[in-house]
Amino acid sequence: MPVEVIMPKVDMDMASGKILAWHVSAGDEVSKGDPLFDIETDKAAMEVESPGDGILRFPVDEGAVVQIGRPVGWIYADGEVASDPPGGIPSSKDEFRQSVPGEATADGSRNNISSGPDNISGKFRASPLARSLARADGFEIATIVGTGPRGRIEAKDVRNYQARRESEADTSDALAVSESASGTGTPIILLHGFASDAKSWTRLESNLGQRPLVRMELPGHGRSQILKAVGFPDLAATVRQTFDGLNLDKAHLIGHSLGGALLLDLANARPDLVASLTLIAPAGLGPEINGELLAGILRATRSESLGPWLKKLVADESLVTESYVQAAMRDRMEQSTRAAQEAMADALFPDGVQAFDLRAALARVEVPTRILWGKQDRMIQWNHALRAPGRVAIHLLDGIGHMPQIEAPEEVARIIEANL
Amino acid sequence: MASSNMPYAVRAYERRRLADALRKMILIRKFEEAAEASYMRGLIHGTMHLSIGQEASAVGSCMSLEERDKITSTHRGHGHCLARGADLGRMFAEFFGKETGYCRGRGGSMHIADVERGNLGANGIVGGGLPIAVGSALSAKRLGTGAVTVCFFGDGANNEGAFHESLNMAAIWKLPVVFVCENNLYGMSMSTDRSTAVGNISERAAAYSMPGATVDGNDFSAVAEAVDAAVARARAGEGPSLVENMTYRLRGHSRSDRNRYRTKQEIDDWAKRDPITRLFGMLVSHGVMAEGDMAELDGDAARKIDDALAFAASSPDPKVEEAAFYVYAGSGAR
Ligand SMILES: Cc1ncc(C[n+]2csc(CCOP(=O)(O)OP(=O)(O)O)c2C)c(N)n1
Ligand SMILES: [Mg+2]
Repeated sequence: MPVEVIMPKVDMDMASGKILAWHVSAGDEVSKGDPLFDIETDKAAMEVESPGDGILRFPVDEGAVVQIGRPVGWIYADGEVASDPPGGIPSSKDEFRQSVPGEATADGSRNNISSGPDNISGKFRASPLARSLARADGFEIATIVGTGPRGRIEAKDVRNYQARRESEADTSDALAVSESASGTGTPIILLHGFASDAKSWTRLESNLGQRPLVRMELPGHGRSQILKAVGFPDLAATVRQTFDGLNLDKAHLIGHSLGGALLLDLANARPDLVASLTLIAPAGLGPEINGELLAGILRATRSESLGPWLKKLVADESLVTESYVQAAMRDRMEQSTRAAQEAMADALFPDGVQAFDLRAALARVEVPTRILWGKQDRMIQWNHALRAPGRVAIHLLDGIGHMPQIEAPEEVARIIEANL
Repeated sequence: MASSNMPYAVRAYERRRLADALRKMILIRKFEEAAEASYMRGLIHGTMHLSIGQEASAVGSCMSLEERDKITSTHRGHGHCLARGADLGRMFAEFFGKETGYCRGRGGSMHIADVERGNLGANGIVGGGLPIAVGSALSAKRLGTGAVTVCFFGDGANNEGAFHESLNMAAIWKLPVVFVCENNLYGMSMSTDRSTAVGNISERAAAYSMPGATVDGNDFSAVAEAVDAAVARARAGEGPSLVENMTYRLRGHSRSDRNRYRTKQEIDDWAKRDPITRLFGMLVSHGVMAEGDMAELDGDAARKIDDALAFAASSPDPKVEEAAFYVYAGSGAR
């Protein structure tokens, strides 16, 4: 009697397994304990050893999915006659086997091994997740190098490959820019704060009259792509690069919070191209920042947890309506967005401290500069403004929190307009 | 031949007991091979930990135990059960989830207890058997039963707090317990080199003021010699000991092990030190058995296994409405 080779149960909740590859072909001799075939379950790929000595006959197709305990082939003793498979099991019509399209051959022979992404007979190892990632992406997994045990290709190898491919494809690191349709005069550049986006200017814009507006969005915010390098110098360089790409003769700069710090850096770097600088609750003038509030916003994965933190950004909490919170959460729904912002916060505000200091830059900037701050700001304390040199105008707004452009757009617009 | 050159086991035990010991080791091996085959065919639910390669440790450590003595076992405990004479059919039935199993099919491989034969039970908690063994030894001491408890545990347990607390308590109260560490070099995929501060786990004994010994756990005689001495010491009221049996599990940690943390070479090297082959060789070379006896021993074991499998397979499944019965002590048929 030939020895039956079965699809073994190797995991607690395994019901069937896929034959990935045979290590030997029909007619080859095997010894007990030799690697015989590889299987893939929902969880892992695994090598199965030969249960006996002899000649392998009637192996099922590679790619076939077989229920546990069912035969996948037979091992015959030397000289044992093998006219038909015992029980006729390895027929492709077997009710327990489903051929996976494009992977298995239909005629029961193994000559026609697919050379698609699943062919692992070329002696390389890859985790099931790596295989399915590569499959979904449509590239040949064999073309990448594995860093797992014995050169196994793992999910992280596939992801690294994808990331590399993407970063090679993107030659420009410029930020997303949107411009108002019309307007005359010197344009205004708007840069929002951390964990916000260009929409935060909407209320102010409608009070700003007829100037052309150019809104930039931070990396990993709004429509800007995620950047790997997110330290302050990297961000400042990206802002400069984007600004240079606009080819403006002159611009008024209005920045909020982190955006304020970045435009202050820009004004310092491009003094001849800046007409005026308006900093709303800017970062970079002192080490303190509300780390708990930052972390709370970053952590939130639904509106119920985001809302209470957003309320702390304003003085009059009724401004933060349910629909406002839901809209804000929708913008943060993508796990990749949240991860990118988290990486950014980690670089910019480690341990809830502002890791960059722009006081020296502010001392050097000679263009007309104003600082606006809400006295009820719970993110960054307004008294950081007192560190500005005497030539900088300071406007402290009573009953306003960290978002003056949203909380008091008319007042903010009036102050800005009066000085443009 | 000078008696001092004879292995301890040959000196200490009668022929019949030596043959019995070998028979048990073969039975354990065949039992687990059959369990493995049943598992691969999907007949067994949950997971399962095989002790193939560790049979000398299980059987050798129980040689001087009497009926009143107790053992505590581990998640890798089939050998311990069978060393104490558990019923093969009821064990298979438990694996298959049948009413006739040791826990009426409610527990599976990791929960076999056989209190009538002094087996206080397997344990899914690494190190979980140690405090139980100390409690058992404490009760024996207080009641004056003279019973000794052998506590099996793995190398993985030696870094658990329960291990240290148990050894300390057993030592301060001079309890009749023998701690038997089955050091198979790995706790799952973690090697003892990486997990354990001391070179030999038996060195831990010094911290608790008890004797500690490390022996070749695949040498039946060496295991029996060390554990017999420790049992005698416990029985004499001199307190606990720690014995470390250096051994190896030839199969993976559980059924889903992919052996990525060890080499095939290492497994093959240990397979050459098979405890069953070694005991048989020793018995043959000392005239206790003849070369030809192996076929009969194998055949015997295979028949017992077949009968047990047939018993288990033909046993009734629990009724669905009763699935939650017999899960807690005294929960009877309600
Ligand atoms: C307290 C506890 N931690 C972790 C586990 C998971 N676990 C099950 S077996 C095992 C390894 C045990 O290793 P060892 O004690 O050396 O026994 P072996 O499996 O090698 O026989 C682990 C970590 C557990 N069951 N209990
Ligand atoms: Mg271990």
